[in-house]
Amino acid sequence: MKGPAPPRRAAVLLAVLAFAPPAFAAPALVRLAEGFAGEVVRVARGRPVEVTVPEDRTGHGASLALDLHALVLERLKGRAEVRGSGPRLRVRSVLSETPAGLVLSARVVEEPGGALVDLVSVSAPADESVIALSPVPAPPGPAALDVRSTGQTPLLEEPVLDLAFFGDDRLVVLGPDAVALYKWGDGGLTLESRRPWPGHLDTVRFPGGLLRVAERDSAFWAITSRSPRALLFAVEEGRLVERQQADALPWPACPAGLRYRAGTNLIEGSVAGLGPGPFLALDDSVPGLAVNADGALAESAVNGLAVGPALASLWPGVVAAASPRPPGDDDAILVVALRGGSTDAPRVLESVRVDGAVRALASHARGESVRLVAAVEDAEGGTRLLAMDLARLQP
Amino acid sequence: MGASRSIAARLLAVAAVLALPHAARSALGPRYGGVLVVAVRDMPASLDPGAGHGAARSLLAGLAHETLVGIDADGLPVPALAQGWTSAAEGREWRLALRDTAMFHDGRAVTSDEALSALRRFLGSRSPAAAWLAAALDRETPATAPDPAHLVLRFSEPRALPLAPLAAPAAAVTGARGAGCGPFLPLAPVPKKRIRLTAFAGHVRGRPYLDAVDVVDAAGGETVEADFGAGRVDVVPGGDGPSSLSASLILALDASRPPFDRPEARAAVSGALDRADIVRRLLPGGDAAPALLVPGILPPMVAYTHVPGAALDASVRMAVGVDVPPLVSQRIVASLGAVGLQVDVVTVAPADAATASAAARLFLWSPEVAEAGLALHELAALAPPVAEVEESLAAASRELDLDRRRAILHAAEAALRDQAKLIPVASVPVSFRARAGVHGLRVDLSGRLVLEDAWREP
Repeated sequence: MKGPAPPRRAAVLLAVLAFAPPAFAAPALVRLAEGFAGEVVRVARGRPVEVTVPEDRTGHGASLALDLHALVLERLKGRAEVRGSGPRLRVRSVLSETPAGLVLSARVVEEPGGALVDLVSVSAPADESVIALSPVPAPPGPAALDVRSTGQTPLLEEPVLDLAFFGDDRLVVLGPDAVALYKWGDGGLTLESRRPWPGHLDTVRFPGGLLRVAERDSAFWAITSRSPRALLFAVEEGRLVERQQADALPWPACPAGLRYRAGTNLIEGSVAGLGPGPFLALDDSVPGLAVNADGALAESAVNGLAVGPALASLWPGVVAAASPRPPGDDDAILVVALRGGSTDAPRVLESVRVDGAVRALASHARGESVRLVAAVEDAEGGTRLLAMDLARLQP
Repeated sequence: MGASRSIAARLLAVAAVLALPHAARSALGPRYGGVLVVAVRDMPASLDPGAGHGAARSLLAGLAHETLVGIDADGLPVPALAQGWTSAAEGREWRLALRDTAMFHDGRAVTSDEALSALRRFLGSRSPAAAWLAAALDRETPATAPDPAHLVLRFSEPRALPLAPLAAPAAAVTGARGAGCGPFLPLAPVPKKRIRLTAFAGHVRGRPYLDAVDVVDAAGGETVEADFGAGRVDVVPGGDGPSSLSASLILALDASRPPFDRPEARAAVSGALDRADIVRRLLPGGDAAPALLVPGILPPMVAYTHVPGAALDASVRMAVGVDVPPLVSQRIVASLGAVGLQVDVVTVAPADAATASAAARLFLWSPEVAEAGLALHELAALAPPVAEVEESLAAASRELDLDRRRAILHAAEAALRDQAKLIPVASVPVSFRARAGVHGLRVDLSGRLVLEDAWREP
């Protein structure tokens, strides 16, 4: 496989750097280092210590552990003698991540001999207002579809029912209990506003949610299967405000709007060209397209390709969809070419494997590329956002 | 094509980097909709949540009914109809708060009046958990309903896990005319033949995924196989599908009848059983540890050793539950024959096997409540009282430190086993076979097939 030409290599690097700051850039990592250094000093009680680089189990890459190691060493200066040989306490640690933040756990053993002296564990809450994206470099190689950059967030605090871009630099994240607005910046996603869903919420085993940006990106509609009402939100002075309520979510070519079948994630509503549903997913940027209740990509009332319950438009005639794979298999984001009025059936152009279930997709054109964001739920039920900048390369 | 392959390779490489070290979950589901047909043996005539044994009864109880609390995998009470609880009076008073969303199948809210009525019915039932609870509650004012949203239980003294008995199926809360509040609403049954249950949208944990469950009686094994093969049935007992190590295969000896009135005769029977060989050859997935409770409820503290017993010369009658695999019962009969016992076997229904009148009983047993203390209490009732066992169980119910309590329960289990009146043969998996595309089935530590999270592919 050939490497990219120098200009493209630089472009890839720049794109990666757009996601570059580590997930727990300043406050959380610093707090963790400070707390851990304090524990090491307490256990050492004047004895020399050797602090190894933490084993990274966060999935964010080795740089996070290296940064943390440097911060810890910095904070041990003047408080404990650090050395790598001779009688000392060796501190071997593991850096892991929970929905609440980072955890650094360590075994402190006596060297030589290896006798266990103590166990240390320190945690630091994640920065609530920032969801940082860790970079994952795209591999080189010529292609017609270019994955220019990828990044993923730490675990979010709650599941994601739907995602939608709100203007060029904001992302709406709809959860079972609340709707949140994030601003896309160099450091990742910064929480601008979060509104708990008002009123009583029904208990739904596997809730669904739907967003629709409206009024030229100045407001958006949201509905979940936990509430019978659709809400219109706008942003005023950086905060989400509720503007309006409705019995159903307004939708193009759907006079009565969309609503959820009680207690399910099934969307009901008569959409021109699609029939009465029920549906698992719709995207208002692709009229006449939906995922029906059986997981078939319904294009102008013709049920075709089997997909999962998430959908987003990429380019004219091309959409991203979750895969229909059953439990036990890897899930994937499918890149699907639609029929586009031809007699050809929709077909899968590509399949990007992800480890977890794709619960929601959103996309936004950024010049010649498209930013695609997926909410991916792992086996333990935690959800991360996975962002990819995609472009079609000219032949 | 070349370009396409390189795209695929590129994307796969990206994905490989992105992949996290977790088992994959499905994007496809869970999916709402569909009907599941489940075949059972021993179809009960009634859905009444009163005491009673059998896989079909416990399956139906879990579908149609709901209890105030459940039991988690560690044997600890978890919220169900009750959303939580607090204790007062130094652990002698427990106040349960009902969920404000709890409702019966007829749409009426579940109030503390119904919860109190259900508790009284439960205390009067034949449930072993009810017997434990009745003995533990204050005799003057065992329970009250101070307001529609709360139920208060008063105990004569602080008890360990005092709410665990409320997880018994017989403690389910029912409303007027027997309305339940389980995840599925039963429709008109064909007695002893078939019953359809439809999804209940008002269930406290949310509407189940399936639209309906049909539970059908599997009178004959060949019929079940034919129905499964023909696609008329989706889930059948036995097989390589959802499973849990949740049944104990027990050989009970009646110590009031010869030759088992002699301890050495009982010891000879126990020693005649080559548990490891039985498990290895006849009970795949089983556990040969000679403990009366399955490892998930009380991890065994004894290692298996096979010590052949002394020779006997007697004839006995042995009642064998029809759910005991025939090859296993034949092997045990042969083992007993090898030490001089002539065994006359009679088969009995699973629900009756543990209490049948015979010198020996061989049965598969799962506890009413998958909590070690209650399970041992239930097992102890199957054998004549042993002072050491009763003292240990009483001490365990008063021990509030769960680690110390577990140690006491191990002592109680050992004392019950050492009498060789209840001889553990093996822990046995309770398993089912499900059609491809059916997901979310599980078997709990009471051996119950749980369907409320089941779903099927389109």
